[in-house]
Amino acid sequence: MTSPSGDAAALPERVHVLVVGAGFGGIGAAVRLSQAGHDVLVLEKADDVGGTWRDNSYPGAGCDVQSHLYSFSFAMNPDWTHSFSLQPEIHAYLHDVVRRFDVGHLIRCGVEVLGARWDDDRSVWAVTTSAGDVLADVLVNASGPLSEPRLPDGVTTDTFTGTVLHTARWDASLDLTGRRVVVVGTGASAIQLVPRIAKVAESVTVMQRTPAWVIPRNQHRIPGWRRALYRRVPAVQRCVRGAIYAGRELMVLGFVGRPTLMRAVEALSRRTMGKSVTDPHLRAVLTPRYRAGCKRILISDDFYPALSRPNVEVVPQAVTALEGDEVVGAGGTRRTADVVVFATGFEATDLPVARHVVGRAGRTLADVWAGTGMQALRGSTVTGFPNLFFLIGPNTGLGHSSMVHVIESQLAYLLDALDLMRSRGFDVMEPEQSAQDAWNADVQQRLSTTIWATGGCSSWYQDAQGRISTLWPGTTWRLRRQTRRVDLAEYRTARRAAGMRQGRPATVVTQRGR
Amino acid sequence: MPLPDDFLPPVPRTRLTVLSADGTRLSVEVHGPDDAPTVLLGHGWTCSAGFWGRVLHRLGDDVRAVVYDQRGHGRSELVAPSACTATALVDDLEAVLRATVRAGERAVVAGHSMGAMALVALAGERPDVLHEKVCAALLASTGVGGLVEEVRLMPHPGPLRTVARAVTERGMGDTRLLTLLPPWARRSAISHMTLSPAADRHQRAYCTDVVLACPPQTRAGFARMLADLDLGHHVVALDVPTLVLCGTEDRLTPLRHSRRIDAALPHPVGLVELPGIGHMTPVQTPDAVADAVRRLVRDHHVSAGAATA
Ligand SMILES: Cc1cc2nc3c(=O)[nH]c(=O)nc-3n(C[C@H](O)[C@H](O)[C@H](O)COP(=O)(O)OP(=O)(O)OC[C@H]3O[C@@H](n4cnc5c(N)ncnc54)[C@H](O)[C@@H]3O)c2cc1C
Repeated sequence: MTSPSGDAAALPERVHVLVVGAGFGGIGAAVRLSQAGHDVLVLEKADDVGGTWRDNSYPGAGCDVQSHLYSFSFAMNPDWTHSFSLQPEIHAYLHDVVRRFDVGHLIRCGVEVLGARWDDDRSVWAVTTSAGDVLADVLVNASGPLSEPRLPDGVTTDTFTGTVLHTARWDASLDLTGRRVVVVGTGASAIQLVPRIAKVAESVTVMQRTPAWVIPRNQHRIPGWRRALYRRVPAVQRCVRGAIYAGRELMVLGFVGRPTLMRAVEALSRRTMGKSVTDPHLRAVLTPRYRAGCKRILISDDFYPALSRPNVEVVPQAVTALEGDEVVGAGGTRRTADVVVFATGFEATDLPVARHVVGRAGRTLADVWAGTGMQALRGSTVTGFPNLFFLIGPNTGLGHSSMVHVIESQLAYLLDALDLMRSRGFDVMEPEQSAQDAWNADVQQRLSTTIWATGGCSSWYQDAQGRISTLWPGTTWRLRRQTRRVDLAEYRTARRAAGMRQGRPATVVTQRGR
Repeated sequence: MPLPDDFLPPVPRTRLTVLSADGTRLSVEVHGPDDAPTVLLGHGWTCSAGFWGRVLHRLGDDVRAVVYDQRGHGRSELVAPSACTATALVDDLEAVLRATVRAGERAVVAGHSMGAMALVALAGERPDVLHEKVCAALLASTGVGGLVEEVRLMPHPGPLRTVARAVTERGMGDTRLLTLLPPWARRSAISHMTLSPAADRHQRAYCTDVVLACPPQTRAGFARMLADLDLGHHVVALDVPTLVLCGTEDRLTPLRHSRRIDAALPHPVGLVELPGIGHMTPVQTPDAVADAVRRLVRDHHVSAGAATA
């Protein structure tokens, strides 16, 4: 039994597959790749695995896709206690997966990947880490699209005398009882946090730039007998998972097919608000003026009731500065605060790793993407960056279903590529520019009529140029089909110079006629 | 059908909680620049601070506007029906004046309906506070007694008078009656009571929402207080320059109340009659209300330092 090791044991000189990050993506890669007999090493900069579910420990943090679906298909968990689990339970689940599949020894925590450069002579990734250098035949980026906290631009905080923190960097020792708290943002994190802290804080001021459409979450406990049933008859849980999956897939109709269907969501949201927000002034402040779905639709059973509490105020202004003991809003509004919580999300379109990965032509991924926005072939591979694979790459995000499904689709693609390398005897693969361009043209074409493009809002789905480089415009089923197999016609492949070949671990080589 | 933007009150620059004499927590908002003349606005029965939104937009940065939620209304603390008394409203007004009007300054105080009654009661019960903190008054759409008798919700011919009174009294105060009505009837009943036929659909929708947002227990508590209210003898104590304003189609506090008050005031500075307008003057004619406030500020405001006359 091994658990993720934080020890300072030296890294191997060379690995076949090096994975950056040990969240859902990195852990899934460790399990699936080791099962397929590949030599894999996962590096995680933090001192624990879990990614999103290690970092987002703010009160109320939880998933907004049902846990039965938001988990690995190969590691179902009959013991989820709630339809939508909270962070500690999801984090524990990921630990459990590491234990059950015994991949702890493949994960090295406390090691940050600082940079990676493609060495064209040796056809390897030369990776620098906080614990020394490693060579890798294949580099997998699983560093997470929602991993780097984002703060609003231009907000000065240096003269603020109170405590400032971000939801994804919560301080467990912080006691908000009787404190005056300002929460910046009304997105997916704020809506989980505010109801919790409103119960204990002296006052909560919510700074809102744009309101969200909120619909009921219908959170409920899963009774013991159901859990026992799932444990004994896993097929039942699989059916429940399938039903949830199918139901969520229907939402694609509204997002992608017919944005006007979203009126039904708006009506539901209005009704939900009407039940708990009686004050017409607050209702007006909370009612969005864009089509539902354009920004992420949020789910909550307790957000609107919390906003109606007398100790909670919604200020419909962006924050411009924190000065002394006050938070200043765009309209000159001032609110005294002991604690300011930025619930302002993540750098979703400006991935930090992109700045540190240098491709064949000596340019960083960030440079290459600077002009075009994030682009990849099938969300996975990038021209100019041989043997680099993404888990949750460009245009693979979802507004409606589980990202773990996407991760598993992309893992299948990666595994197929590794199998092909092994069976066809090539070492280097890089997508043709024409294939990558064609794929992106198709994705952008399909995006152009979706709610995200036409709904009349700006959102974190878009990059600085307004191009949507994060979302997948279709069903997850379609993405799965498109990543089931590697089409070698889309790739340039090559063998490595003889002297540079590495002895492979003895494994079964799957032969495949194609 | 979103409301036009000016129905949405501006975001208060600062917000504070003021404790009244009996410990009730009152939510108070301050709008406008710190160095501008202070104007305090008191809303009426079943409304809330946000009700002044349209007027606040018009006053803009010319005044430092203090608005507060009467007890049991808006964000102020809920109170038992027994704590819904005229004296409690006076306590609240005094607490807010003391917490917000700067030393030496005397503010213009504008009250609408029950908010104006609170000011008349303050003049009668605490003349010292009036003289220390208030330089001029606006009494908008109000009355000082005999309220139920004179309500004109329906024509009441002689013999049916008592029936009409009973129905009116119940209709206004009964917490269940309103909620028993189907939504459309509830809405038209409230529009009928509070606005004149000239009101547009936004004003109607808004006023119904405001009234329905008032907690039933507050609505009932103050209905009882209003039915028995008699402040007629206090009007003479309101000896600061006072402007009276009322719509000619006011059904809840018909114009004749205002005329009577104006006639009894020791220092009247005018009676503004707004043709075709109903009870909710700050919503139906925000321009006229804002103009009245401005006029009082211009002619009568006493800033800190200029006092001790
Ligand atoms: C509050 C919140 C709620 C969410 N709820 C849902 C939900 O309900 N359903 C859903 O589908 N998705 C949800 N998501 C999205 C979620 O991020 C993904 O579902 C999933 O967890 C992503 O996993 P990941 O492994 O790709 O990335 P992460 O979980 O972000 O893991 C990335 C890891 O990489 C590490 N790392 C980064 N850079 C380096 C480096 N240079 N060197 C070494 N390690 C590095 C990080 O420390 C981190 O541990 C939510 C996200 C948040 C923030």
